[in-house]
Amino acid sequence: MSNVIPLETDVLVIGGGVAGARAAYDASQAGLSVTMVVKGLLGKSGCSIFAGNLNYFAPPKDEDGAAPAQAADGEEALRVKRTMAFLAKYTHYLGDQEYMRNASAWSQSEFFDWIESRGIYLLRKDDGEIVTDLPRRTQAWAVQMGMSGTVVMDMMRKLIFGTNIRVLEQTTATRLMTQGDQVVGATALDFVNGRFYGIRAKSVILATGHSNYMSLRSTGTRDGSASGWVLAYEAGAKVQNIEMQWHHASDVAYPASWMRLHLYPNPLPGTEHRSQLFNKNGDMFFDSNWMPENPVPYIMQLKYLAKEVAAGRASLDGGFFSNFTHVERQSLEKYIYQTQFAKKIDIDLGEEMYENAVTWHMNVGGVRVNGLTMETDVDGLLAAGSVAALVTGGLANSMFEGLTAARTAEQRVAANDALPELDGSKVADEEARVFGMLRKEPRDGLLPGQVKKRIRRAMWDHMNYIKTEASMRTAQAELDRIEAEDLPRMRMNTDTHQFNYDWVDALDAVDMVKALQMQVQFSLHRKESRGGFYREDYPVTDNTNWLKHLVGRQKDSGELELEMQPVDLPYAVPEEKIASFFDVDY
Amino acid sequence: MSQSSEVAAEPIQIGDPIKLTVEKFDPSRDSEPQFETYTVPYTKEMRVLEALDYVVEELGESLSYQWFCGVKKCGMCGVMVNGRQTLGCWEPVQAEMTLSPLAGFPVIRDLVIDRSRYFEDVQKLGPLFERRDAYSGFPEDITGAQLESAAENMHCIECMLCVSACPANGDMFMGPAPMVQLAKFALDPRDGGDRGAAARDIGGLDHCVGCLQCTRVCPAEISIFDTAIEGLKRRAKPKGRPTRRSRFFADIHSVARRGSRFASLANWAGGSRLMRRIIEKVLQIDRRRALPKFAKVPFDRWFAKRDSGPSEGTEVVLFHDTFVTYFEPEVGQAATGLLEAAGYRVSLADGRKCCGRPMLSEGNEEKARVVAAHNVQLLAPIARQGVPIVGLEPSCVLTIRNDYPGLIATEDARLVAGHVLTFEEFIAGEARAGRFKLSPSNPPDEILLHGHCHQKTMIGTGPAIEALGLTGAQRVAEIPTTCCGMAGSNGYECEHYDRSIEAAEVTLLPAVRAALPSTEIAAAGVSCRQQIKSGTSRVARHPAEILYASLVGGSADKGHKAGQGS
Ligand SMILES: Cc1cc2nc3c(=O)[nH]c(=O)nc-3n(C[C@H](O)[C@H](O)[C@H](O)COP(=O)(O)OP(=O)(O)OC[C@H]3O[C@@H](n4cnc5c(N)ncnc54)[C@H](O)[C@@H]3O)c2cc1C
Ligand code: SF4
Ligand code: SF4
Ligand code: FES
Repeated sequence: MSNVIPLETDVLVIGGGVAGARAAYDASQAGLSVTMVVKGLLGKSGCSIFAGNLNYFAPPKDEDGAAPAQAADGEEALRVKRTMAFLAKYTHYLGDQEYMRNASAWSQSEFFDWIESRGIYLLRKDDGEIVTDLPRRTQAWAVQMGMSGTVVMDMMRKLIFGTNIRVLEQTTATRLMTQGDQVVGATALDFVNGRFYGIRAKSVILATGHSNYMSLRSTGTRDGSASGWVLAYEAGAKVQNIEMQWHHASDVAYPASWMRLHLYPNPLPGTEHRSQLFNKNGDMFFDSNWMPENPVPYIMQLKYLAKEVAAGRASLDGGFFSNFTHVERQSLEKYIYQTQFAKKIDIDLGEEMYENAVTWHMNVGGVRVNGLTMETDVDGLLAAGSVAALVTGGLANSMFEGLTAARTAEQRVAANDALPELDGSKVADEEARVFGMLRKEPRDGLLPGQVKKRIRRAMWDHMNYIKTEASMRTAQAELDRIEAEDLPRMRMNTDTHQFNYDWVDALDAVDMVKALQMQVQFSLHRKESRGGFYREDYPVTDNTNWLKHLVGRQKDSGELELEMQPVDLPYAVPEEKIASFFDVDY
Repeated sequence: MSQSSEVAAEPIQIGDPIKLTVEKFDPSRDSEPQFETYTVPYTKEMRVLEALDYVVEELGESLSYQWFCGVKKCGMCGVMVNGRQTLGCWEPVQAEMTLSPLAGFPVIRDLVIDRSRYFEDVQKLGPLFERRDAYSGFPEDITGAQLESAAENMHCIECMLCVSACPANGDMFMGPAPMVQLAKFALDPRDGGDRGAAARDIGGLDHCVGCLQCTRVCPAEISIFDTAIEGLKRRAKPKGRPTRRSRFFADIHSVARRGSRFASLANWAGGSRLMRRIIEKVLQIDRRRALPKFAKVPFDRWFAKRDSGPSEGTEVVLFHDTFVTYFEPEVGQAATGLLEAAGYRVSLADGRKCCGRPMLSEGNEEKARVVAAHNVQLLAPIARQGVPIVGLEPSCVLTIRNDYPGLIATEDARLVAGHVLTFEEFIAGEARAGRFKLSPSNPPDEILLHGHCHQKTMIGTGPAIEALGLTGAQRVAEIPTTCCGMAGSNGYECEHYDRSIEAAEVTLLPAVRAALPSTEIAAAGVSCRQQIKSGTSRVARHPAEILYASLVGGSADKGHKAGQGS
């Protein structure tokens, strides 16, 4: 262990989004020593800052504004019921329903109190009423629509810096360390100055998020390279449903860096109007208000878009438009963060439409965990937040998973006096791997950033929202080629240890290839279309044969082993058995 | 305010080359930064950040920069673009742009800066909400109206643009962003913390000079000065004392005054960062420019202590602007010397404030109105007595003349406006009327005049040429320039270094360089003189100095240079 800096901690949290932050905070409040390893900056990297809307299922008001009578049988019970109905469709019935019930109850009874009591401002009208969407009242917003996650994470960052949690920022976990069948810590690289850590922990919480920058257009942040899946998988955990890759239909088409700007089909603040989509001929092909009770308009948008693309009236990279010209100015100007972006490039959303394109977004699946404890299939490793496979993310859900993981970690730490040892030779191997990437040869090789771009291009071209067996095979071949030819030829202009982002890119590229090879295999396996997962060659949602979890693990040989596992449906069961993908409302 | 209105001269077309020069520096290896230039094809509505991605992903060049979100949420992509604080994912590319790390921060590598001091500062201030009363449960009883200005500050993404732009940020003052963090709570009626005290005692709020640079650069469009700074100042004051609004130019004065008191210190290489940055910001001079130096003796002090001039003669009031007072007293001294030699009784507009031009450039009419009202009150009695009021800096004079009547709809404002004159106007008019009668003792061969933009658009260069003709020079010619390049979009705000040098290179700088060594270069605007100074080896002088040199005494007159720092 030449230059490895050894660290010890009760709980190691990997990731600084809402899940990791809440896990670390709660564990620290419980008196445990906590170390956070964050690839970016705590509360600034990761997709938590993107969470624009908060699900707040207030009892709907009828026409004259009076709360309907049924609210009497328990407003909270009603809110929980509506939240669950939403989550079932949001996960296309692949979510963990027992978990969903708990998460819904928590998010409706505690989440808002937790953030508001700490000063988060939930947007009010001038008379004090919470601003919601009308008339169904399903959403609330912190500060402004689009800003909720940003301000919550700002608060969490400062909260954590006020504790004694050790926070290693701009430090990326490179591998989980195992001892026998147990995860006992991790290695991590601080790329600001090239420090390499070997961290021993009684409990490791993986919270690396999921909105990964894996395709040319993606809602992912810079640091999203699916490394969480790879870390867990290589440590022996199982990965589940990762073929369930969701895309956004209505992110802006340009400028390129704004592709993460979502022109929400969701209910809008202070208005009954919702967004509409128009094709290149100027015809409207989608209005969220066609299905006002449907809680997943962003999934429905995609289905309608697929039909337009098939008919040549739109394409995945543009040629269709979001329309808000019918929405009241007050909502656009005062309540919605997005409006100013349009204005910045001289588009007045009150008057004009804004071109959209498809974007690789979140994933329903991830690391398989127990929904009550956040335990993965490998001892010592917990996963929380959107890296886990319980639900398709969400700010409140991820926070709930964080606090649940903290609770489990507390129990584990209490039950384990001894801090496990790291296997010195494994740490040394990993150090050699990581530092081996810091090379300037071969001269005619590729910068790691170029390789990442090639990976993203392969996904955009062949693993986009609309895919087939053939396109996926092409993607697979290209990934294999990149693995065989490009990865070994990665080089940098400089081998400095000083903020060498090429180094991070190199680590990312390796993880991205691994994660995507896995994801393509999952996708090829699932012979139906479901929710955000659409195969043109199987345009049917088949609840008879495919309402199943796809679970993968690494065999001793290193290969992926895929199996199907039943889905528990204790609370919500889809109505249809086998139906056309386009007729299904989730 | 959105900065999008600042449009490039010609729209860039898709595929057009963007010339991107990046300052690269690896402190662990390099002794000094290097500049590398790349060509990047323009894509639709391209943002600055995308050009950097292109360098890495398409050109395969190592380059360190930071970003996470691409949509103005993480605050990590701030850089200097052509000398101006810019959020990379928010602002468009320019056809030619030089990128360097955010000014004022330690550089980690290339465009990556070290923000740790800010994060530490914020923790020191107490960055968490402190409830005044027990929490009543969600939803608590507050209104949108009550939270409006707090909410504005909640949009802060900690991008550090304002901190970088703030001239007062330094050891004494944490800068604007930490104040915004405090203001989120200070302006929130639910919060019970003593934010004013934290701002003043820990944050150093009193050192804010009110220059509005922070508001100007904030990509979250927070009116930092108006809401956060003023809000905290109000809370930082003991109760009962009236708040003094809009004292900012007075503040600039006090800082500048302190600077000049310690001139040798301030001018010492790498000396007071505060002073240096104030000069930079106030004059809007890029770091690459040679900075003006603090005068050892400010003009007003020199004026008070000089051997007093004639006790008889026509009275003239000099409107001595801040730059003449603290940076270029020799201009004021020459004007005084010339006028007194010609038999005028000179006094200063004591107690005057900044003309208000900087506030107007910021679009802050409110503040401009306050100083304008003050100056009108001071100057109206003088004007009513028929005493000429003469200014040395054209933009000050023209602000009083053209903007005051619009700001203050009073008879007095119109009177003052109709009464102020530029120095050249006054001299030319007096000479025409036969009252200014000095004859040349030391005529220069040739004078090349560069007209200040405002001067040219509003008065023309006629009076200046006429006045300079009194030197007896064989030739007084105007350099056919449009703008020295220091003036910006609206003609007042000084723009980026590169673009401005580019503008200056069109005619001004080549003409100056081509001038014979014996030729005098005349320029009335302080920014024009700065531009010439940094772009050529020549020194341009104010017409007053040239007139003084040729009509009264040699330019080498040590008395006049005495005020200048070495
Ligand atoms: C565009 C967009 C819009 C959304 N809108 C909403 C919405 O309106 N409402 C809602 O509730 N939810 C929304 N979500 C979902 C929600 O934001 C996420 O599900 C949730 O915030 C995830 O939190 P997290 O903590 O799991 O992950 P993240 O917030 O993604 O955090 C991951 C963290 O892990 C770090 N990390 C990654 N890899 C490593 C590594 N190898 N080592 C160390 N650290 C690592 C990252 O730097 C980051 O700090 C949206 C998501 C996106 C992308
Ligand atoms: S007004 Fe000027 S001095 Fe004051 S905080 Fe803003 S930039 Fe700094
Ligand atoms: S106040 Fe504005 S400029 Fe300053 S850090 Fe915050 S967002 Fe950036
Ligand atoms: S990249 Fe996040 S603010 Fe620009």
